[in-house]
Amino acid sequence: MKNLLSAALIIVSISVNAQVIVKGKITDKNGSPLVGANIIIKGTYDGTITDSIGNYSLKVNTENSTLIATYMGYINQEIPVNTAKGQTEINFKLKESANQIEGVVISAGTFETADRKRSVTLQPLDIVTTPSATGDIYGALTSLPGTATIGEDGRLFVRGGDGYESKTFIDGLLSKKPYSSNVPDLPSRGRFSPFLFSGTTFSTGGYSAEYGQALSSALILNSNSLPQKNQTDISLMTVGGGVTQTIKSENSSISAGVEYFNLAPYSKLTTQRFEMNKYPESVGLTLVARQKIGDHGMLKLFSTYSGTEFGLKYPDLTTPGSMSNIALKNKNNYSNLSYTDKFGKGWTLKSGMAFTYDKNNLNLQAFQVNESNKNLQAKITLKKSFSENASVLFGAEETFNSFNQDYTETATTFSNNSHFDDFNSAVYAEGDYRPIAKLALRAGVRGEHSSLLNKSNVGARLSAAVKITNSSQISLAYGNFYQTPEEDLLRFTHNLSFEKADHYIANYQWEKSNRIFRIEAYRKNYKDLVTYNPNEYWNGDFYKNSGGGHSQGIDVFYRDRMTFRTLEFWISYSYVDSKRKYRYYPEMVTPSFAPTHSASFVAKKWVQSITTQFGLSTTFSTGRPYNNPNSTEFMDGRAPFYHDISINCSHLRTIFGKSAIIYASINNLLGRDNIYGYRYYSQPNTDGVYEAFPLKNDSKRFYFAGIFITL
Amino acid sequence: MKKTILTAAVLMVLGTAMAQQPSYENAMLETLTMYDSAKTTTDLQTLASRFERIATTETSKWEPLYYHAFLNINLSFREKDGDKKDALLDIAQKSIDKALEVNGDKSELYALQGFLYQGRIQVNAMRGMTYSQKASEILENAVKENPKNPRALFLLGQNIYYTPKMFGGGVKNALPKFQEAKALFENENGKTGIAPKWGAKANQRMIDSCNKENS
Repeated sequence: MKNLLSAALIIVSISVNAQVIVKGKITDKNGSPLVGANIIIKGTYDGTITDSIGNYSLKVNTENSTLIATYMGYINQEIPVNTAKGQTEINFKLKESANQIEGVVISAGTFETADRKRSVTLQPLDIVTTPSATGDIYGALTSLPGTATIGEDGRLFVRGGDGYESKTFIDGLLSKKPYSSNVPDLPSRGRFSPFLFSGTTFSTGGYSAEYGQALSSALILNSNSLPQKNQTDISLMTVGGGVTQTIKSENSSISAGVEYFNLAPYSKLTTQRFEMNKYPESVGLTLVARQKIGDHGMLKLFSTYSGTEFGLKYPDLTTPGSMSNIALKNKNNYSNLSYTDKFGKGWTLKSGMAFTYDKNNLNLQAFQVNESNKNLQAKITLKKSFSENASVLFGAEETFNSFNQDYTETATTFSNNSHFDDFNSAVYAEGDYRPIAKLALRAGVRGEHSSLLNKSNVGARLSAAVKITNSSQISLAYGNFYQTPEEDLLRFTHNLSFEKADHYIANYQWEKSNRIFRIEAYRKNYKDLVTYNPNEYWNGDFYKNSGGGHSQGIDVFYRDRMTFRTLEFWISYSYVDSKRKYRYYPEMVTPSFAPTHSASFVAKKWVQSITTQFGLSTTFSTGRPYNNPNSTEFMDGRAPFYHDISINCSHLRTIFGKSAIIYASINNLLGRDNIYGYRYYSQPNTDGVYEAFPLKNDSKRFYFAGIFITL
Repeated sequence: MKKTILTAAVLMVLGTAMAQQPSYENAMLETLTMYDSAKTTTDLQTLASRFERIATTETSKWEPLYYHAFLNINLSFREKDGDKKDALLDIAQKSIDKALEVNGDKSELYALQGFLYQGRIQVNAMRGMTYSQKASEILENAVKENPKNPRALFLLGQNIYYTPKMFGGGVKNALPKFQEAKALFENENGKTGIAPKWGAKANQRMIDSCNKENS
């Protein structure tokens, strides 16, 4: 009996002795307490959480006990309990995981729209519900600061740069012809539906070494991952319609769509400025396929074809008062195949190929231009993450660009053929390092060689961001950017070099509770821009890299999705001072695509009781320069200011039990007669005066309505 | 006296032994019992952290992840600040994703996902356009996976309730879902175990407010 008792007591005393009281504090790297952090005794369900000053106290059975501390946004930390009995103190210092929301992100020059950064995002729905955008990605981007609304062109003009200085990349690969072909004064649109993409990074300068051959801006679009389910999407619009079928299995999906647009019915109902010989008509086919490979691999194929045709009567610039017929036919194919995968030890692979084939037949009565452009890019990027705070990427890219143009004059039968092939080879490397959570550094280098120019270049990219308070940060960026001269300039000579731009950017950003404010100042120095003699544009000897210039300014942006519960809005303002000598410009002047002040405002209001969203957008910009040949000064004309108010509404409802969106919009509601500039006849009239006609939209207002049904 | 000491000692030994090794089910049941009496935000946070601890140890079980997500969604409804609401829903989303990875009950997890989407709308009604559609899609899938899941029907009813009448929403269309859910909730009465059982009371409240609006 006694023995039994003592045995029991011994056991009790052992188990009592084996208990240790562990006390301590859980803090972040800087020693600030983490409140409500979880401490778990490894392998058990026991543990506790920290109190309001980050302290905890816990009874632990010490036989091989280990404590794990966890906190959202921080890396778990494990510490073994070494004491056998009594009391001990274990303090945890948790490291922030770099991808958490509060982490600093380099924001100079970039409007990034990763899922987490909700405030700056322009997601598909944002794009299609921005009234001034008319469903066009590029149209929506002109509501962000740093862009100019160039209504007669439609491309992206960034920070006093020309349209050709902006490039579009899809899943990291070049899209050579992202805009639809256009004739004078009919603006082009983006070829790709905003619904194909889930993320957008719009960089107005200082972007990563992964991207090159763009002097001003890179628009990086990331296509959707695997779709949620099988579905059929049907769209019916005032200008056409389309059907897309998506079939999904567990690890793969395929979707195929066809679109048809014809502006004839719409154009017949409204007044157009110029008579149409052939109403714009186009057919588009889209194929999207996805295949998951292994645990992390994803193979994506995206292929589109479109055929467009239209014709109109346009003033004949050689003879005042007379009109000539312009007809355009375009065929375009874009295919993009990409593969991404993750391997062990922090390795990530991004690879792919993109192919563009574009064929334009332009008939201008007096002459014909048949142009074709093939572009094939192959690219591979490897990234190695050493920790959550340090990574390095490097890669190589080969781009084959083949251009062919036949020019024939009808009257004289004069003809000219230009053909050239260029191989652009590039290598790049970039490192990201975050020595502390509040500081991010990035340094990159990119080297390129063009076989056609037989020239090479090396450019540096540097950027840094530092967090100054919980909700604000400052970023800086610097970079050298090179671009091969445009095809038009290489028709008559290849004896040219890369055009160059250096960017300097400083950015302040404040972000809190779905509100974001940012202000950015920049300076761009242009060098080696190509100039030629307009009177002898066919003479290759006059083509020189002797131009240059600068562009500097301030961009301001505020977006608020919080102050009003059912209303969100954003305001942009840009100031730009841009001067350049390039192309046929005889001297350094402000180019026609750089309005000094631009501002835009977009607001969207959701009305729950009728499940409808109303949108309003308005854009204002000061008058743009144009050249008046009657004046002795070059480019001293100033067009009137530009102003536009557009509205739309998107109404959600079910039709026969299927969800549908009914959409309607009016652009330029007030019908303001916006004049972008003037075009002059090349010959003076009998009084010796060059006559002008204004550059403006084809019709004052644009009405649009459509129904989009998902089955 | 000796006997008493002995008994006490033996009990203590047994007690310690038991305290060291509660079964998974018991740990879950104990925590769920605590949920029944939880009132304050701190109570819910404490419970969420308990479920997180169980989930950390039991890496192949979906239930602790489910409740961890469920509590964080509930916490988001109590939170006023939009960013914090979103942060809580981000935590919940991670747990739902993990629970699906370990082959948790699809119907229950889809229903919870629908609940989470409803929470996203709470942050800003502008999101209604995207998320109410997302919610109805996933809730319909939840019903498809298990037509007898009362929570899926209740949440679906709730989604319909807040959709305007003219678009197939409103009291009239929502009430049948709540009533269907009520019958299914009654089946769950008296059932024990760690499978999800919440929702009967909230469902009844919705039925009451439907009836009030009808009268």
